[in-house]
Amino acid sequence: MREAVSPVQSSNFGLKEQAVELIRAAGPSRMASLGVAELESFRSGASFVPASKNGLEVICGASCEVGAQ
Amino acid sequence: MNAHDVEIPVVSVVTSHGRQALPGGADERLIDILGRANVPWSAVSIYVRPKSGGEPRLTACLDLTLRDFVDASEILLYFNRNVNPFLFTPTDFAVIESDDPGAEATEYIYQRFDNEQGGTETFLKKLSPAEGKSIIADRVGDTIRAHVPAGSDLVVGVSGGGDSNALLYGLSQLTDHGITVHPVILKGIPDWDAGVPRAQALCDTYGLTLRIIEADEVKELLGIPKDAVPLIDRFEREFPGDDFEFMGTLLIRLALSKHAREIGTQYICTGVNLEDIVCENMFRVSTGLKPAGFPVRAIGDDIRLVFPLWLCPKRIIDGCFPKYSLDNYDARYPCFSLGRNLYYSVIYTLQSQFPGYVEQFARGMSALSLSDPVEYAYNAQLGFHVERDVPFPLLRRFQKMLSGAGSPR
Repeated sequence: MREAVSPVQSSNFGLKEQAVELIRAAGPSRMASLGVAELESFRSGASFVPASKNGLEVICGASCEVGAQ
Repeated sequence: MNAHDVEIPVVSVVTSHGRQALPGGADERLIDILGRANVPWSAVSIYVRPKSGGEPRLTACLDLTLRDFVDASEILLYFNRNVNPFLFTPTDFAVIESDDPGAEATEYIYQRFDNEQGGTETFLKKLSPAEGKSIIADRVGDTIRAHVPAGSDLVVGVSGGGDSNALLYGLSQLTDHGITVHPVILKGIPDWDAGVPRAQALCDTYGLTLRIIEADEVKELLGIPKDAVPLIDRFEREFPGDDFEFMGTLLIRLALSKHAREIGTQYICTGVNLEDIVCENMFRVSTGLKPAGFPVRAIGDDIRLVFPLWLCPKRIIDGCFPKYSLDNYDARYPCFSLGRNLYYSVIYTLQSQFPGYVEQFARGMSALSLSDPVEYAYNAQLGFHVERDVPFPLLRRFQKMLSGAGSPR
């Protein structure tokens, strides 16, 4: 799974200096096994993705200023 | 280094989540390198570090090839926000084979959003026609059960194309909800006429009687006299460079409504799919109009227009009946309206770059549309329901098209 944040917040400021694989190199296909019903459940019926992980937009708003740095 | 070699700067995308060098050739423009890496040009500020020393300088250089940078050791593409732009990369997927290996006819990229983990998983699912049909049947069933009472008569607009063929299939699988299906097809322009044999064949398969509305009947819907001037010629004469799809949408709605009144039902439906409905409402919202109701839309007091395919992407729909879909594509006529091109292109780009997002967008707009429905009012001059006041010059032109005599009816 690709993840948005490092689990340790305080050490994240230096990430921009680190070489990482943001764009994964082409390689052999990975395989997975999921049924159509499960795929469709998250395509057509998943919970909406909130702006903030904990839904703070209800209190703070969800404009582009949220978390802008 | 031989005479043909040239020292080119290193191009790196720099985000708060890390940096990565991007491959690029001496003769490639920077904007093309960004495009290949799926880095949006509008999201980065470009700093060039001089080879001769000194601080990186903000530079306007999207059009330059790497060979053009004569004093640059590094090109730094700073992402404007602290987000991870590659979290949703659609090409980083795991493949899921079809349940019927060798029979796959289409595929779809699914993306699972995990808010708790702040991550995504992406899958390329290969789909056989049987799998595609099961998806369509489930989505159609969901919508019909939610919005059309059991025991209803449902007038269904068909064209012989992929959407309406899939729609008929989905409705045919709805065995627990007691719907009686009344398929209707219009004639009068070459695209429509070409679809009649395909629609007839499909209706025969399901034991349905197809109501064919001939070209003169279609013209009657708008009060056009039975003369030798084809409808499409009238349209192109009065609205040159525009697209007949707009007229077609109206005519289908009028024809289905007329048939619904004749058989005493209020429910009509068409094969408007996910991209169609989001396109319509992307246009509406981005021009200051609230979303028009979907998946059910009240038009006047007596008609309910339902869109059972509203969560069905075309890529999946086309996999249900591969041969019929190709025939339909071969009958297509080019669209020249800038707006129609724009809104569809926006949707396809969103859908391709962010799999799963367009479905959320559709569901959100659907909720909005149903909470504050658009009201359609009968326009006595036109003879049918419209949403807004029609500007007088446009009304005159439309009436002129109908009368063909240069004056309003």
